[in-house]
Amino acid sequence: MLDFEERMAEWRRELTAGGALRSWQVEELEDHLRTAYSFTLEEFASESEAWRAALDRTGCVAAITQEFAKEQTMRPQSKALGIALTIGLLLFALQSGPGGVTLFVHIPSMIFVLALVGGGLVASFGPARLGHALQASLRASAPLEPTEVDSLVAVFQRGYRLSWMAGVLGFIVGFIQMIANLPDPSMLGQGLATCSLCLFYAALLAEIAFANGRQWLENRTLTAEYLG
Amino acid sequence: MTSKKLVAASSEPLVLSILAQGESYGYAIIQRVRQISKETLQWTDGMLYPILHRLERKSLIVAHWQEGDSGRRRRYYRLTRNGMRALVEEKREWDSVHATLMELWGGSNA
Repeated sequence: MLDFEERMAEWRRELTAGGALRSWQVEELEDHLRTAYSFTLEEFASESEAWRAALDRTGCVAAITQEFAKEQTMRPQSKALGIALTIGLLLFALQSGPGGVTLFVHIPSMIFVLALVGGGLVASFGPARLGHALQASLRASAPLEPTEVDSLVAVFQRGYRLSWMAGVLGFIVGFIQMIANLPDPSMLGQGLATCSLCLFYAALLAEIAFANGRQWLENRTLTAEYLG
Repeated sequence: MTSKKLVAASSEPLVLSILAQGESYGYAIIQRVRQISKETLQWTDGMLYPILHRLERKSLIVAHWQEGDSGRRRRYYRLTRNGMRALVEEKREWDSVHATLMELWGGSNA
């Protein structure tokens, strides 16, 4: 006699084991297999033949897992890993060079870039919408309608452009500071630091924060069940 | 057996067309494909689901769960307005390919 429920449980375990299917997708396929079995029971003499036939018709677990794996989207762990890797390797690279990481810490430039970008964003969107956009990009659940995504992406798009603009402006400011202080070479350093580090911070902000945030949002034009 | 290429290319328009006739669920959709194609199109059932999920991602279809009698739930799909538009476009493309081939094949004395 065929122990149907046990076979079903085993099949379910195999399907889940691949890691390519979410639990609701396994549930959907299980419903399919059960339905198929209910039909093959009528066609075949023995239960085990019917089970075999239902399995064959539904498809082998390996092939199904492979198909689903192709469609898979990003897990939040990947996001965290990507960011950590970027920042980690960057800090390592900076630390390994002469002067170490502290060479790249310049408070006035940081304030300059953050003020321009932050101020610009608040002016364009208001704090409420900014908070919403930040939250939306970090969360892995809750579906997003394509139109909702567009309005949130606009924040990141603006942030990205503001960052680069702040970098360029910072460069110009630093340059002007250098020129204004040409007679006194000891002051050149400040200007040069502002120049280069504004651009540096701006690039990091633009590419690590805003570009990624935007991509995460765009990845979420999917139903909730695909992520996280 | 129909070539893999053709099966792959036709899978989305087939699913959209079937859903255009009314809301349905996975198993029923496959049965319909088998039935209408008179068994010439034999899909491995499990492969349908990534296609359904892909169509759902593209907002061409939407899904909802329905409680069954045995306490299990079943996922039903239906076409969205975007899906209908996409289907119309697919039909246009297939018709044009078909017409061209018919022109070439109909002309010869095969």
